[in-house]
Amino acid sequence: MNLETLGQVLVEADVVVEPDSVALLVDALGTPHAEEVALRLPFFGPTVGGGDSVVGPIDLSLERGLAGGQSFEWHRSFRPGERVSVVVSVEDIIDKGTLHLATVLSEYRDVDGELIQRQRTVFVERKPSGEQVQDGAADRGDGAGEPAS
Amino acid sequence: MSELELTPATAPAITREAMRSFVDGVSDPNPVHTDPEFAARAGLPDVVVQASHTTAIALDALIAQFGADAILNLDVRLRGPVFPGDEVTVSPVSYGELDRGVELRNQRGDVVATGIVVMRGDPDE
Repeated sequence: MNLETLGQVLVEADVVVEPDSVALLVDALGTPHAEEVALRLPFFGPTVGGGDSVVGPIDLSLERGLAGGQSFEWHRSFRPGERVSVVVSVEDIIDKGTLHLATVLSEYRDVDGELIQRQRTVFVERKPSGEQVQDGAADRGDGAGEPAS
Repeated sequence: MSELELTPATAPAITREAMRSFVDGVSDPNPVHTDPEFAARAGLPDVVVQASHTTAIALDALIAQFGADAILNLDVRLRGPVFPGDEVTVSPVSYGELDRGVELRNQRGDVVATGIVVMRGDPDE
């Protein structure tokens, strides 16, 4: 990971909550409340502006990286078809022994500037074996999760 | 706070088609969700469910039982991979003083994620 991206804004963009994308998530979940769930997920967040918009700048290896966690602060649901502004930034990025950890913050606001939600994703990346420092700090619970997305 | 009054809920088994639909919906280009060979190079036995898909399963159980407007915050820690065919059950759990916990387990009993929920009306709202 590129530790020098701490504090950097990676993406500033206006996007539309595309009904077609919502429909794909609804299909994926296949439950009676799937649409309500889909409209709370910032599906255009870290991937807005193209799949490389976050992964590229923070230099996250997809083969060694994973998503360690996600947190959401909801003020309201998205509305199908509405235009929202998105700002994605690196809130934290640290070296932790055999791992790098990055917290990517995404904020979503409506056309009036009102906050819709804040979402944070924690990415965990194992260092290549040659770069690892055996200080024992890494493997105490931050390294589970799912491959980075 | 008391433990979350959540009735354990099991999501439908996650199909490869559902996984594809989800990653298309979120425009996630990471091949680890769709390409078994790439997943193998990452040391995984199969493609894995996208992180937000796992979070969505937790959120679905919460919304089904409490309504979307009741849920203010959700903090999810991903503990392990979810694979095609997995059936994930969302259950309430307590973490000491943090009572509003949820736990996601697959059909083998493995914990794949844990979370803390803040509901409207909670003291720390």
